[in-house]
Amino acid sequence: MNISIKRDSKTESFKLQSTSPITLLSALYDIKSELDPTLTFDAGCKSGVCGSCAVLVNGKEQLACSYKYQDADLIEPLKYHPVLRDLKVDKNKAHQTINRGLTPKHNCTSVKTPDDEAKTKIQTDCILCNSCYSSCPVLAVNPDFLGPFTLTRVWRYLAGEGQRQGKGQAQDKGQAQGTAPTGGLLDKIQVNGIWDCTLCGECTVACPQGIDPKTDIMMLRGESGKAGYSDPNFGNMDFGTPSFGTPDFS
Amino acid sequence: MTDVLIVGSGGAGLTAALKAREKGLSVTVVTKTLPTQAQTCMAQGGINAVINRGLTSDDNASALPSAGLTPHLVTSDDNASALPSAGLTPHLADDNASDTVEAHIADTLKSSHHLADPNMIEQMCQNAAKAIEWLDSIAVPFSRLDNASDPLQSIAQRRLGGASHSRACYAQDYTGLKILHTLYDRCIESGIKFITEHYLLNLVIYRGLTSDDNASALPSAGLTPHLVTSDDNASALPSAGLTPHQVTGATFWDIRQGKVIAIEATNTIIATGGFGELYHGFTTNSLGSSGDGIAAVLRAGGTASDMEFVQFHPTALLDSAILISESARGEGGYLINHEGKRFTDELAPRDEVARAIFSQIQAGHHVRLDIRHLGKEKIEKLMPQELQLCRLHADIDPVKEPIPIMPVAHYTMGGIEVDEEFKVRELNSCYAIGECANAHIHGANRLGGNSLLEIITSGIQVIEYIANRGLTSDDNASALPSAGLTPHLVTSDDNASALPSAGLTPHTQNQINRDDEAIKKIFTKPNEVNFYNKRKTLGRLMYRDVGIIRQTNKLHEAEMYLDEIYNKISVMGVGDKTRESNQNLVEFLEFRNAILLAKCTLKSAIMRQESRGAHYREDFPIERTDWQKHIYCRLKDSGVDLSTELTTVVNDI
Ligand SMILES: Cc1cc2nc3c(=O)[nH]c(=O)nc-3n(C[C@H](O)[C@H](O)[C@H](O)COP(=O)(O)OP(=O)(O)OC[C@H]3O[C@@H](n4cnc5c(N)ncnc54)[C@H](O)[C@@H]3O)c2cc1C
Ligand code: SF4
Ligand code: SF4
Ligand code: FES
Repeated sequence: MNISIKRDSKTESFKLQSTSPITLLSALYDIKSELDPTLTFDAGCKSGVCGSCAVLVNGKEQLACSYKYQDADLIEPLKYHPVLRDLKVDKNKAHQTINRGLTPKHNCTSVKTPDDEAKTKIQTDCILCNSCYSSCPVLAVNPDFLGPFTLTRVWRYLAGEGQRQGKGQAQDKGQAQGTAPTGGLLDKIQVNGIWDCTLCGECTVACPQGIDPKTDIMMLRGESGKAGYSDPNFGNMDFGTPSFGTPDFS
Repeated sequence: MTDVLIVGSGGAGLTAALKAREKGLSVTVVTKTLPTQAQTCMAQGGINAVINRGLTSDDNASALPSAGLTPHLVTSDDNASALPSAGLTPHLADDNASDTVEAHIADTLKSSHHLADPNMIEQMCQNAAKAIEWLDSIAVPFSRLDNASDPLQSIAQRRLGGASHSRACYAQDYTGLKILHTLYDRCIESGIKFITEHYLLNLVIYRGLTSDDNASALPSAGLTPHLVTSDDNASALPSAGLTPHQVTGATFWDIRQGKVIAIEATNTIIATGGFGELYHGFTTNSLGSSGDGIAAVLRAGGTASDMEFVQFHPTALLDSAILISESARGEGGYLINHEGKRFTDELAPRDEVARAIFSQIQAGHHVRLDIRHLGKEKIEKLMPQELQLCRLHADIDPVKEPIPIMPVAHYTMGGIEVDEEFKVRELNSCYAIGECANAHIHGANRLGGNSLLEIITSGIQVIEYIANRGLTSDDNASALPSAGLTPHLVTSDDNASALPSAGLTPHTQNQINRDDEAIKKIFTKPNEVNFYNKRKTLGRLMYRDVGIIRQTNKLHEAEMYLDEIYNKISVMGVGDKTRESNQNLVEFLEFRNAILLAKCTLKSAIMRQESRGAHYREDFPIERTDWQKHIYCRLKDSGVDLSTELTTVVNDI
């Protein structure tokens, strides 16, 4: 079997010995130890939970350790991440979005009941593999977009709390604008955040953990609306921001 | 100069980081990967704590040597003082309602086979409820029960092997993942600086006036000589404020930029995790668990202890070594041999089951885990993750076929020898916590759910000890000629070369130079033997001969092979000569550490002529009271030096 790997601008093909199907990660290590020690990639847990090893396989995000490669597969580094070498990308900028979404300090509370638990169970399954970030078309036009995993993370903290605060959510905006130290999660996601998402759902397809950032973003829009925020683009339609998403729904 | 340098971003490192920040200390966390890629994310089962008795009562708290748990941990719900602490009537019907801290202590002691320190166990178990309360307060999304009682008591618990009660708090099957990511979020909010993709090379040690004078005064007189060199212009330093063999920071390989840098710190905490990776291919552990921190401490003159005790998990998938959780057996799965017959009690303790399976494998038989009789519906409902893992990694459907399995290395009990304040015995201002440390909590065998507990409680405590010592950077900064480098401002983007090297103290600069030299040598030396192949050989060798069942002849044979690999290191190198983002180089450095620790494990295993906990000698199958002692490993210039020392006798409760 052959697989092709994108390295810098060229694509290199490797012939693999193994006849029984193995994971892509094992194949990468076979190449590294037998054929080319310079092939560079990230890996850790081998079992789909540390988030190190996501790559593109034939254009779709996959965890190398959880994907069984097939003949003629094309392996590429994640999109919208600066490539450091071969399949290894710089994830720092993408992870910085968490800083933007969560700081300054927000007073978080934990889930307390099975109902609460259910509300954030899926969101807290995130392994920070950056697959969703790589799949999101908004990042092609707006590199400052907060991106799907950070918005899901923000929703995680709001969803767990919404229950107890009830309508108090409306205070969120007030607190934020009054620079109250405790609130303001919603305030942090208005610019380059929820309204910039086109709701295309690519992130949901890409996520290996079954997380649905698109729906979380819709929830955040709902909460924002209740708290008195509105889509800034409604007033500025003339500027033709990408926030209105793909008009082609076919 | 940072107050606290933390190497490792697992649960242990991040807990310490948050606690240090709470105390107003400056913190720098360094990791060789990205923060959330630490192995802590892999823990599924849970974290042990007795949480049903109205929390730990005040009288317990005062019994702790570390009475200084930060007061905000006690919330107003924690109305412990109003409750009679003894004999609270349990108000839950589950078996965890009757659980007690004493039972937790007893279970842990039993599992340790008289090799743990009862005080350390007691401390951990008594701090357990507070640790869970803290995790709850920072929003770890534990699974919950539908009881409207006290928030802490609504945390769901499950029973893990070796526990007398359902004591492990969990977050579905992602306990470690959810703890780690929540800690990370809180660290970000607290503004803790991370330096990522920096690989720990060595500790920086101030060795006193002239290196020759002091070398002999060090307990670790046997240091590999190149660590103490005459160009160590230590005499230029004022001696005040720094004692000999004081750790003043560490050197790192900046993986992206491809250069050696140093971070100077008043306190250094090592939290680099275990060394299961020396069983490469036969371990559930992540690829990076090569014991780098332990190896660095050995090179700096510290001690590693109990290195022969490695816990094996009975059921991992054959070939891929992916963990199949205990629940498969708990739900009634059978272990069958090549004839399709059951051969052991599936619910016996982990080490017994592992041995029974390994005996079959030694006899050339395959062992399989059969859950077919549970039925499709039940399997799909109870073990969805297992189903998926089997399909992906073993290409089989457990509903239709038994699962081929093998026992594999899972947890390393041994590690850096620390005192009761988690300080590395031979080194000042240097601490070790988590799986890399041997804090004498697990002894000869770890109880499931106790390691997550240990990483949280020790992360909290070590900061108490450091804060109590009252050491802030100012104390030492003035003693250093030029405290120029503020490491917490250094980000990985920073061009390290742009820093004036003059900002570093001479002994730090010397360590950088030595490490730089060593790495240059790796780039230029012959690369005649492929270390990736040797890494596989090492894994197989350790698994076959220094694994679940050990025996004199086999151990000696293994020693021969291991020496052979060891001697070939001089002709192993890297095929990749690029400095930037060189995975090949980092993996080679990891492999060298794994080899060193393999030697420790092997030599200790040969020395211990008895069976105890996870260490089983076929030729010495009985636990012996005269072996109720630890084996300590130190580095001499020629290999690994061993010594033993009696422990205090532990009474079985
Ligand atoms: C599959 C699996 C399941 C488990 N399940 C459970 C369970 O249910 N309950 C339980 O209690 N325990 C469980 N354990 C054990 C537990 O997860 C670990 O013991 C614990 O998480 C170790 O945490 P730590 O913080 O000490 O180290 P780790 O989480 O291993 O973190 C080590 C850190 O050090 C860094 N590091 C290492 N070397 C270097 C270097 N040279 N330079 C810079 N940084 C470095 C790493 O990058 C990482 O950030 C399980 C373990 C495994 C493998
Ligand atoms: S749904 Fe939104 S966040 Fe997700 S990929 Fe599409 S634009 Fe990006
Ligand atoms: S949301 Fe899913 S795809 Fe995105 S980082 Fe988390 S686990 Fe990966
Ligand atoms: S190696 Fe950890 S997710 Fe793939």
